[in-house]
Amino acid sequence: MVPTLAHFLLQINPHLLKICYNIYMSVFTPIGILLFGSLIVAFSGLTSGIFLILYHSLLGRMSRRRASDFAMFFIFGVETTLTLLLLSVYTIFNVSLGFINFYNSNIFTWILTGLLVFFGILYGTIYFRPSRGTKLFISRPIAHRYHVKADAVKSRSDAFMLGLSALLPDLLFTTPILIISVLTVAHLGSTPPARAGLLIIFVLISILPLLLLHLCFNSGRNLADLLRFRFKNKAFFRFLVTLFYFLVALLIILRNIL
Amino acid sequence: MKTHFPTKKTSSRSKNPLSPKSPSSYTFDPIALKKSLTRDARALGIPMGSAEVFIDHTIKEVVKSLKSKSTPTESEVNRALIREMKKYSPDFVFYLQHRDQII
Repeated sequence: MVPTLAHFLLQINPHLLKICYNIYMSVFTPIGILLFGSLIVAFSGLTSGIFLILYHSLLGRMSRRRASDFAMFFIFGVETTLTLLLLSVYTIFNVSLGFINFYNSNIFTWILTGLLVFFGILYGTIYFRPSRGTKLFISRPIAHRYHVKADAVKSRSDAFMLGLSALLPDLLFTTPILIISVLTVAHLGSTPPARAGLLIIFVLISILPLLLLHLCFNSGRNLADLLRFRFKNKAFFRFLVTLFYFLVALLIILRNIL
Repeated sequence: MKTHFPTKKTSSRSKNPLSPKSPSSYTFDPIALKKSLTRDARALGIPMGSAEVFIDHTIKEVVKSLKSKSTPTESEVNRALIREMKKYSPDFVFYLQHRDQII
């Protein structure tokens, strides 16, 4: 299919193939990196786990409407943390290192690729504990603390603060993804508004599972249903996120070598 | 002549910092348990009328089954709860079995 298309383009105009190739490399590969990066952040199980605990606790104490309101503030908290982290990485790279040279450097590419493969394997092996259920890599006192904090949420600000802290343990796995995403945004967006738009899309894709869970709770699903779904598909999600790590690494290699 | 002996202040909070952390204590309290189960039932969307009836039945049975133990542990209480709750609500049983395995 691809050689036929290439021959066809060559017959029409020899330059057309080169133009298409350039468009593919400069647009579609970075978009792929951004998409898979945001999906990695989205499918990391910690924020959705804390969200489930919070929503269950809220529904037990207050009306569905109020619980939904508080849950939205939790999502705002997660969104705020992610935006602040992305902006911090953006500022660090923009001020101290400079985007373009850094992104085009071969050594940096190989370091990033190696890190991504390493974190992909790490995610596949240690993110979920080898037990029934979806126990994660965080220590038991921290997990207990999240349970206690979720039970203690009494106001929107509490829910927001819990959202702010929910993403932080995941940074162990998502830091390289955040760095790559920011570099890709800087490469893809030529103007600051375009970059801001891409960052907003990244954040929105990253919080999509939380919004879907929110919809599920609002439509009457209970925690037991969602837990069953989560437990049943644990291996699939683990495989998916590991695959996304490898795909991002592959796209970076493709962009820099081909 | 008065002699002053140094008195050592002892408080319940002064602990050896090197001693291992004491395990958290658990005391079986049927009233608190009922409150917590009612909250969970509400969150799981079980109608409150029937939930209160079967929670009362369950707690009675749990208390009866744990009578022989002077200080029942948390896991013993959980096991008894799950065993009794199986008669009433599969969702509740699933939640009780997995509530500590979410994150």
